[in-house]
This record gives sequence, structure tokens and C-alpha cells, in this order.
Amino acid sequence: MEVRTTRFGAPETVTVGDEALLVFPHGLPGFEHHVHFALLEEPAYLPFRWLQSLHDPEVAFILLDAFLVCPDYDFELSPADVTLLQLDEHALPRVYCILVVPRDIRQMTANLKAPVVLNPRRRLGKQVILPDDRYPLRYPVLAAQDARQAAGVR
Amino acid sequence: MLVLSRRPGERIVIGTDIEIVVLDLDGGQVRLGVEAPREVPVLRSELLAQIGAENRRALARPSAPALAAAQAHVGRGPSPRRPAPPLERYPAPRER
Repeated sequence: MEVRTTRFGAPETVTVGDEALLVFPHGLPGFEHHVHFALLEEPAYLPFRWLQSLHDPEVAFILLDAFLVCPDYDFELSPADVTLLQLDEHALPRVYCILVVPRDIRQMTANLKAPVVLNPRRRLGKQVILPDDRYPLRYPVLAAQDARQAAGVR
Repeated sequence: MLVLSRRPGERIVIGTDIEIVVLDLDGGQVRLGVEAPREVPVLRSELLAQIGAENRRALARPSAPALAAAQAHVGRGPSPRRPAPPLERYPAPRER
């Protein structure tokens, strides 16, 4: 499928396979009407990926693997979300967080408060809002990474 | 909007399986208890609004060079695949 995107500003078209097409049954907060998405994964841009709305080329979120951002990230999915995403032992979730990438990339933050959980097998997704305050809305990606490296932890 | 007056200890029922009870009044604040099925999400509305606002912030798009610079910091290549989280953290839905 041809997907239109303005992820870098200018309009472009990216071709994706059916396996990249995702349904977010409830949309995302603030984007409740955006139900159909494509996950744009290209070797040249990894580990960044885009969650591109098929409803609007201008609605694209940059994703980063949540465990890459925070290696000991840990939360529990509610039974309701497990059901919605049709997760089971044959279809395990993948967990991403949405990045805010400002002009100064040192200020890049990741939303660990509301991770994007995908079931790649069933091609379903949801942005889950964690009920507790263990993880922030704006986790400083690079500052945290520097601190880990300084401490000798990868 | 339906407007109801309630005293502490009194309840309202929404549908067949959601109940809201007024627990306590303290100055300008009211404490509510919500009893709802586990599949019904209950959130403070400002939290939902906050996530929505953060999602809108996330739409600002970096240039390709800015992203390449970020890539160099975060580490190129596929993200390290952790072992799959233990399944009990993603319990299979119970049969009714």
C-alpha cells in the first residue's frame, strides 16, 4: 500500500506491506478519529519508526522502542487492554513510546506515561495510559542515556 | 447535562454496572468512589487531555539531518531485543 506522509515536512509516499497496517480501535488521545495507521520501519532510520495515520499525512508520531529508552521499563497491562489487543502467548506485545523531537535534539523526550502497545500479529494497537505516576510524560531520552553510560550501565 | 444533588454516602448508578458514590466533602473538594467493571477505563479527564496535548506536541517534525543526529546518539540499528516479558504480565483474559 502507498502511504502518504509529511514526516520530514515535505510530502512523500512510502510503500508498505499489509503487515505494517495497524488498527487502533479507539484512536489515540487527541486523535480519536485516527483509527488506521501504518508502522513505517526502514533500516536507514532505525531505531526510529513512524506511526503514520492513514487519515492524514500530517499526523505521524516518531516511535522508539520503550525498552531502548528505559531498559527497566515495566508496567502491567489491564485485562481490558489484553482483550482489546488480542494478546496471548502466540501474539506478544511490542511496546513503543512516542517521542517529542525538538530542534535541539538533546531536549528529546519520550512519553513513558502513555506507551503505544502493538500486537503486530493481529495488527492492533493502543496508546495505554498508565494509572500510576511511576513514569513521566517527558522522559529525557539522551540525558538518561548519558547518565547510564556514565554509571557504566548499558 | 443531567445535574443531580447528592450528599456524602449517596450514590448514582450509570447503566447496570457503574456506580459512583460521594465519599466525602472537604472544602472545595469532593472525594468520589467509582465502581465499574475492569474493562471500563476510569481516568481523570485532565490526564487524558494532557496525553492528547503531548501527542499534539509530538507532531512537530524534525528534519532528516536532525533525526540522523539523534540516531547517532540513540544508537543505530535494530533495537536490542529483550527476552519477551513473562506472560503472566499479560494475562490471558478470563473466560466468563
